[in-house]
Amino acid sequence: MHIYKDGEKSKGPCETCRKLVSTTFRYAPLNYGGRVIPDVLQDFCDACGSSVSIPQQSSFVVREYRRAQYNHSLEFRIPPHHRDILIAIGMTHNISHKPNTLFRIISELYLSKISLPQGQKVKKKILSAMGDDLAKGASKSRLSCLFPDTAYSALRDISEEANVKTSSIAKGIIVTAKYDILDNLDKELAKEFEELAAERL
Amino acid sequence: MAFNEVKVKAIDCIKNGHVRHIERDIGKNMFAVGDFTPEEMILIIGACRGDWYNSRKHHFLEVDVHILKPRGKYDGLYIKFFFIEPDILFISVHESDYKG
Ligand SMILES: [Zn+2]
Repeated sequence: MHIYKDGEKSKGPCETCRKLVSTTFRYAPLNYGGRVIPDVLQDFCDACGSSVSIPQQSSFVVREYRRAQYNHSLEFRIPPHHRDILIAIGMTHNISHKPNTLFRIISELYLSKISLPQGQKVKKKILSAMGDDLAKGASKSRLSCLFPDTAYSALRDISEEANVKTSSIAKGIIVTAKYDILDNLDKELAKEFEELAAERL
Repeated sequence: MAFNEVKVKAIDCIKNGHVRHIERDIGKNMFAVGDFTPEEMILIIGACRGDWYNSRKHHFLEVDVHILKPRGKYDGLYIKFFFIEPDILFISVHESDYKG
């Protein structure tokens, strides 16, 4: 992968000058989605100073920023036994006993896989878990947690694509986690869960 | 430039990391903000066929803007890019129903 450096020269299309211009890379704040991400490498027009482009290495910085910013406050309605599943997972893995915290970590674990090449498989698994007997029951409990941009957009994508409510997806994720992590049927994922929890708590 | 040439060149640029994204358009560029990884973009572009491809002139540069509308697994995606040696510059990678 080519890595651009501060001060490096390039050329690109300046939308302000409306022509091909010489540019220079430097680190500067980047406006994205109404927020300002500090220290993102960009190349700027040498004539007018407008930002022209961001190199691929900056995409990883933007993604990491979006992942680390928990800025979508969401609420889900779930059957009470789903709280028990979350608490059981948390206690068995010595992580937490708070359903909201556990759900945030578990959903991040699954939703972060959606944009990866194996994403379709994960998506199918969650959608099919929504039909599991364990997904049934009156939704008398409430989960509320903050989602990062990345997990939120994955959640919204599945919801729109499959035309299901986000609460149903939450149930699907919890039932999937019951089999994968509580019953330890996916040892690799259970290990990933512990690692992610250690990182997030 | 023939479609196959565009495809090979685009994939080469991504493999080598010679990738930039137009700053003004990052809000409609899922690759720029990390929703797609370089590996995934290679898969998406690699799977594109000639009849899913189109091109037009850039609005002020003397270069062709290449447009891909994948079908199948990535149906609905809209990809727009051009080349300035040695880089590929992405203008958009978004769902075709994107509004904004
Ligand atoms: Zn300029």
